[in-house]
Amino acid sequence: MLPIAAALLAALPLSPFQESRPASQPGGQAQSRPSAPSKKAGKPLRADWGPDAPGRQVVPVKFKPMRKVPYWTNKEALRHLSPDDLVIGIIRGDQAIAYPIKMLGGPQREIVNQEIRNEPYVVNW
Amino acid sequence: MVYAGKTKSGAAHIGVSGRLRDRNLVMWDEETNSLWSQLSGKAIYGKRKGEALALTPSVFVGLGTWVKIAPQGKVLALSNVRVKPWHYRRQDLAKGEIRMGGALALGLRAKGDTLGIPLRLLQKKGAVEVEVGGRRALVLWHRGEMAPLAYERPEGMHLQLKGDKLVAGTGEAFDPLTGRPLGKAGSRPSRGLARFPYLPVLLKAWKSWYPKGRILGQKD
Repeated sequence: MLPIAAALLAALPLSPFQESRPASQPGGQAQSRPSAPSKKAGKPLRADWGPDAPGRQVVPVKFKPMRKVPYWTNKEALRHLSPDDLVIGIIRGDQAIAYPIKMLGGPQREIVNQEIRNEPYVVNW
Repeated sequence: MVYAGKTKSGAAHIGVSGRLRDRNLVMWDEETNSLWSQLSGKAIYGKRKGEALALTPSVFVGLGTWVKIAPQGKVLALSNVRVKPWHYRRQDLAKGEIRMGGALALGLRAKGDTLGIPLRLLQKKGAVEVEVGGRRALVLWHRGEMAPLAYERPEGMHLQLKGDKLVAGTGEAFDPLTGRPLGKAGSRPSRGLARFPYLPVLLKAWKSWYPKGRILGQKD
């Protein structure tokens, strides 16, 4: 990632539920189990919109949509997370996926693209 | 929040643009490089300007509740990006507000209509029947799970929280966590309740996004 981009990440927008951005950095809690959480993030690309684009470019990069991300079973997740940790959950028929909100951020990981039963969804925080 | 990853013109794979507009995240799509408002789900720039991603039903609950709702489900396995998230636990929802951020609310919107429901008011009432954009919903606070939940309410059906059940005027009962029918003695099981999309938000933020929108319990 471009050094200036990393320096400016903290200035990126706040989620609807977030009143301030904690000082913690990506990397998270140390995990000793084999199925440790991934540090996967959207790949940075050059931001290429014209001067007439709405808003302002806070970092000089955009992040490639995240499509393939790792998952735990519920049972595995409970080894790593608290039952009190808030998640956004999607349920479609017999398919159900939860997204712990403390994993969605950075900002390179604020959006996950996921197909469930052949239907595409965009989970964001 | 969860959007459908497509519009009438086709697929939309969405990423973070690195842009801000009115302090809100701007997203982009890989297919056309158009820019989208995270808040409204609408394309605001580029080839797809004017198109909208549909808000789809989801739940906003603690992981422990999630496991009860979807025992066979799975969970995103990324490292945590915020290790001191004092307001990312369900107990913070139960308080109805977060430190520095103020009161919490659930935001509902459909067909251009919006309704904000202060979480404290919902907790006090237990459940409320509302209508947004012509769609009827039942929004409830599950005290035991410290979770807000919302369901579509079929026309003519009125639902009440009675103990650990959602009970319709006909006597039909539903599980408030899953919306599944619990049946009624001697009757055929009916269909479950469909979930209604909602957003957990700061009340003041919701009011600033939708200054003309309705807030439950407050006069226009």
